Amino acid sequence: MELTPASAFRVYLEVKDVQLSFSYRGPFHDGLTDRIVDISENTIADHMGQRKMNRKVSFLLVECFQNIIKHGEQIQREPKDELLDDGMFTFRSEGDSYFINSINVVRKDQIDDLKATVDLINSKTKAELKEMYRAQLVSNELSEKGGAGLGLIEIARKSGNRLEVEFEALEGDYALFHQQVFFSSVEGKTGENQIPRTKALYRQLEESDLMMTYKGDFSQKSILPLLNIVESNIGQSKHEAYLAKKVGHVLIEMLQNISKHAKCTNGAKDGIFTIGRYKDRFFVQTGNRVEEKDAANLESKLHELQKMKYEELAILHREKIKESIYLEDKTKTGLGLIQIAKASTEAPRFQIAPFDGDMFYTLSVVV
Amino acid sequence: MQSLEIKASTETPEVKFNKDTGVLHISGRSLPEDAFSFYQPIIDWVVAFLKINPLQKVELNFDLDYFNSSSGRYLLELLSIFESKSKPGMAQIKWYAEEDDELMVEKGNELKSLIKLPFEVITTEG
Repeated sequence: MELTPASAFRVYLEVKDVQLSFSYRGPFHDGLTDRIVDISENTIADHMGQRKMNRKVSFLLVECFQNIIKHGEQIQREPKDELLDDGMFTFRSEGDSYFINSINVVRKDQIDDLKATVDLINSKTKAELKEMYRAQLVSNELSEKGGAGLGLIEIARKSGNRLEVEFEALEGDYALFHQQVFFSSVEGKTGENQIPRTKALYRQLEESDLMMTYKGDFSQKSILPLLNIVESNIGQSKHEAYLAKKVGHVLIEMLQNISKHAKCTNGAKDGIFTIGRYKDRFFVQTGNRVEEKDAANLESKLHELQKMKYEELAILHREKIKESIYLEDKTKTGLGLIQIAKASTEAPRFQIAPFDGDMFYTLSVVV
Repeated sequence: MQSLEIKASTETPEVKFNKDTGVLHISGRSLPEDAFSFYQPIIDWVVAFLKINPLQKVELNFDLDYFNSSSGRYLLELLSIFESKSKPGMAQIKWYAEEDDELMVEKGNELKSLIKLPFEVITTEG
């Protein structure tokens, strides 16, 4: 997948019918758990009024994410890379159904045990799982990492569905462990196995060096957890701290642009956001529907900005911010787009194309 | 009139304006989507304060991690009010940024170029 505005559009097409799709390709650390729950809660609970169910979904997200942190292996490589990201965490919500798919590295010599544990869990009834959980708690089989299998039993109990797993051999001593947890508010409903689809997505993200994709609502409450995830991932070294700030700055403008200007569909400001690595920098892409009547004006503004040099953009920003104090409609200052263009190391690229009775606008910048 | 104190939130900065000392501090990050709702009460307070202010000096300190474009517009409005409504020589602005933080240094310099008040961009060690 090349880095053009069209690529964000393609990601959007793949997930356009789901309410929420979030994929995160490491690194995995505990500080992110709360942010991931925030994304899920802000998007699902408020819009669908399903608080009770949302608590279950949050529990499953936390367990699945922490399982990767606790049990995922890191492949030893030379030179040691700070951002080892072998694995992916993804969740989707589609109507009354939720899919949590994860991929993490395990050692090949762990596969038989893990398989046996999953098979055993899948063979048990609800009551048997409860008993199995209690037995595990009191037994001495807890590992230092907090009890292999205990997390899986809890996940199976809370989801009420069988665990879908698959192993994929890597070179040497390692393998990828694919897991799907399905949960629905409709009792007895089973979910399609999305492991093959998740595998394909993982490859796509790896090839494009995408760190994160998000499709869903872009209200302010959903934007902040996304910003926090990006900040806590990029700014880990001092060298990257200020770059992280620039990325955060561009990100907030791009995401708030969706929030302010995207066409509302089904009560939500729906769109797509992706962030990835590009040489020694980062690229950020967003996509959203816009009203057809606004498209021509947006296109001409962006063409203008694309042609301008940094100094010209700085002058334009100064003029516009001065004018903005006297504008009646304070939400349409145009300052956000100028700031995005200023922060981008290459001219921002965009595409506005007819889509599904609307226009779809994608914007792509390198920071 | 009471001093102004607003606690920081995940998307808005901490604001402290002591009416007795005339020292204002705005610090943290400012990312509200609806910047009007956050900044308008501050602007109203400042307008009221400047009408009755008996002090000779007012010091405005900005120590922001970063802010979105909507907030930038209101920061400029706030400074413009001091420019137009304070007595000559009364208001002094200090803009703090870490020395490596090009973005915030640049933003400070941009505001400085737009406001005719004593305006210092002070870089600090990170």
